[in-house]
Amino acid sequence: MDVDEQAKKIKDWAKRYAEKQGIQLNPDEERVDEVAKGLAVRQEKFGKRYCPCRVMTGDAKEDRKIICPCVYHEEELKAHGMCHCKLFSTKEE
Amino acid sequence: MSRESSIRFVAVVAALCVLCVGVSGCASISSGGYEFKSGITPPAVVSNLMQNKTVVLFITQNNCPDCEQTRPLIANLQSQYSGENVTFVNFNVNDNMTSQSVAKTYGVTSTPTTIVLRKDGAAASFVGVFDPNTVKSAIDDARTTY
Repeated sequence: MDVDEQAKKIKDWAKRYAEKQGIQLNPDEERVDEVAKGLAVRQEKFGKRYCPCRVMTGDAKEDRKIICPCVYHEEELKAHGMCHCKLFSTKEE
Repeated sequence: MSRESSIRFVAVVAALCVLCVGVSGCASISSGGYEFKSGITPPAVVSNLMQNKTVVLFITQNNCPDCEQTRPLIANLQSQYSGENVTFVNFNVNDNMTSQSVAKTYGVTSTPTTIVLRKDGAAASFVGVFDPNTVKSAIDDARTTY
């Protein structure tokens, strides 16, 4: 599967995940596409959807925390309305 | 003053002293909200750049959207400090071990991270797309403080 195809699959997954969690994808679709591509590149290279905005340590246990959706995203959504890489955002009232 | 009061007074003064020494020894918090943390030994590649200069490290990765968004802000600052003894360096952690080592030394876990280094090695970090005025204040602080 090429990266663009993988990115599209990731975007579809992210949309489903957001709906299930009561959040949404960032309304800035260009941004979503950029992050999805970053995730696809890392999935292709490392086998997992590691966040493209976080630094991998090389320690598999530690790096598990940054597989999208990362362990930090809920706190970030609460604090800033968006996760660090700006893939997910809270729903606008 | 009773013996008990004296002991309490000495204890409070001692606690305050420890607190002051601790704070001044580790970090100085500016009015701009950033802080310069000391106690980090710069890796050779960074200390070679310092040589009595203020250094700004821009830590990035491939496929990181905010890194690309921040790049023009860095370029703008770089042009503002052209010829002013301020060195800007980009370390892409995907490029090589040296960049990874620099990121690790400064505890970088997310990108982009911009780090302003004073001449004494103390570092102020800015994670994500930064406010140019805040980073400019940190650079000016770094240039004038040490």
